[in-house]
Amino acid sequence: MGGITAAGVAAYGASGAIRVGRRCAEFTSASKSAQSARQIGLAFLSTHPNESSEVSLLDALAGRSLHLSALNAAPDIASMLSIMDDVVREDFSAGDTVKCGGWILAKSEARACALFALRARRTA
Amino acid sequence: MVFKSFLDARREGIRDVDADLCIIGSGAAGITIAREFVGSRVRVCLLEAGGLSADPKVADGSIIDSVGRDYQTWKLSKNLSRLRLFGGTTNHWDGQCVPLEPIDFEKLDWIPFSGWPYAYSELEPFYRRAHGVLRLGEFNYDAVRLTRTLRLERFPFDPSSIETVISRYNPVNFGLAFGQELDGADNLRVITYAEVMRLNLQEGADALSTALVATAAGAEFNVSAKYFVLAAGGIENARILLLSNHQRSSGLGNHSGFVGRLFQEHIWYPSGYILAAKPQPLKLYTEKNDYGAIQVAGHIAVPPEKIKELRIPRYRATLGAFSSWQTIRKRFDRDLRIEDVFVLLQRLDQAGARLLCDVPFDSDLYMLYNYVQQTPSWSSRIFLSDKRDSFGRPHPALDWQISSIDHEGIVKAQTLIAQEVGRTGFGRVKIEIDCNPTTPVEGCIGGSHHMGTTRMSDDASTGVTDGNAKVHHIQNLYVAGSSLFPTCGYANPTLTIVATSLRLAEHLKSQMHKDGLL
Repeated sequence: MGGITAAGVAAYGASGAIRVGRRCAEFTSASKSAQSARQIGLAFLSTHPNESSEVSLLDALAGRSLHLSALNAAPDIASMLSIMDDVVREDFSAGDTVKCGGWILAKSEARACALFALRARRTA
Repeated sequence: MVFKSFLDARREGIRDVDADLCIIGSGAAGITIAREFVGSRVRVCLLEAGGLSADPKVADGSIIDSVGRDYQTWKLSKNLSRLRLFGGTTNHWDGQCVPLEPIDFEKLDWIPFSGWPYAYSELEPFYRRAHGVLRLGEFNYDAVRLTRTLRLERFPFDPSSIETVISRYNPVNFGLAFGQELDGADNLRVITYAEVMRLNLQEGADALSTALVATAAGAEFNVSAKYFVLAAGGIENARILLLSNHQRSSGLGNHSGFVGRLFQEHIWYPSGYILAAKPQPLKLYTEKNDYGAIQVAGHIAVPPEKIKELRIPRYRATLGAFSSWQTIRKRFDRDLRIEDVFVLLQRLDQAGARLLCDVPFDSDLYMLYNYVQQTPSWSSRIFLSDKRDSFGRPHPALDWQISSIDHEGIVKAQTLIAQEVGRTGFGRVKIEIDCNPTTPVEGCIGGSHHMGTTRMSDDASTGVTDGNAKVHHIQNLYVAGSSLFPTCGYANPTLTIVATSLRLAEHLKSQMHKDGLL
């Protein structure tokens, strides 16, 4: 089962390890990561009301070394983030960061989560 | 500890003492200087207010009357940050040794009262000798070399932004380590339970004649000497100078009002976290690691050139690793949750197993224990309290004040750490310090380092002592210890205390050669 650590098995025994595996599966579900991405996105939007539309977020993300079409087509947050690694590191290098709930994030990743949150709201 | 030659001043029969050199205080500074004269022709009298072990009867002499900002230290009770016994606070220090760096000696225009009267290069030979005194091994703090030797991982940061710095640890108890040597010295007399009440100037001269000493038994005696060294600690040095106000009303060395002023501590403030993208124990930073006869540990710091670019005080952080997710959840389950940030780091599977089931884990999360230079502030000071000790002397009063630049420095340094953590893909940083505080670094505590209260300056209008630690306008009175430091960097002070004391001893020897004493 994915996500079971040796420490978990050692700590909890076989039945405990199964429990850990089930919790792990919960956590890795698309719905859980979507929920987390929405939380980050909402935290960004609360402090950046001038970027509270999908258009303005895509505009802000345009011009970076990103395939916007791939970003647009990404089915979930994990896929979105996986194509943003280089851009995220560029943001940190340039000091282009934002504080969300105390966490210092790259603006691009916060924008991606905000985009995700707006889409989720739209399709709900 | 039993030292047969040491005199206990409480016993009857102690009369006036005549010496060539009188050293007041038997901590790291006083014992270092005393040892430099063992076996010489110089007659040394070393006075210690306490005994050979902790004695509650003398403890009230260590009371600090704290006014203004709440002053708490590592040792919980502020009154335990000073120890009245042979060996001073080396009886309970953890042995952490770090030298100051060249930038710490420079005048920096954003740090008021910065600038030592000499450069780092002047002190470096004495740092090397201090390494011998403290049994620290070679004088080498090269993090790259040490971590290679120890086969320990460092953070993957660009060292021009965030560097790894090293501390060496060897908790030498000066009383235990050097007591026998002092006991066996024919030219040296240690007197315990000797409370210095005041220093007396020669009539009509700018030179000390005697130190008046009192004992708990009610007796008094004088110690006369050709040279006096105040080595009683950063608070007591200022206190004794201020108490000696019967001939000069503002006290000795206080011609420009600097005695007791510019009190500095190291600001210790746990705040902020580094969340790792993958679990990787970084033992260098979270443990003391055996290195021959000593131990070493690493910290992260803002390097000197970046300090100049950001115009902040010197910054260093020690890291602590969490061992329980429950602890983390209690701290983090507000605002944006740690499990949400895991999404960004794509650590979904590991996070799930550990976070939800409280499985023990390797280090994923490091707390930042910020350890910061305090910028000298005129309003941060030691003065004489209205309350008195059992000898009738005013307690030292402390009004500890911290500047807003010290708070801003932590914010800027943590922002820099966050950028570097993100840039390298190491993880993400949470900053919890309030960016717009009412009170700078509210809730911080001090490192029990009392510094700056008799600062060195070659200009008598801006200091208590000159670059040779001689009190301005008094020919034969010197000061030793951290009260001399104009600024303190982030370096734990003991190594610098020993180095500056060795330098002072060299200067005293050269003066004594001229006088024919040596």
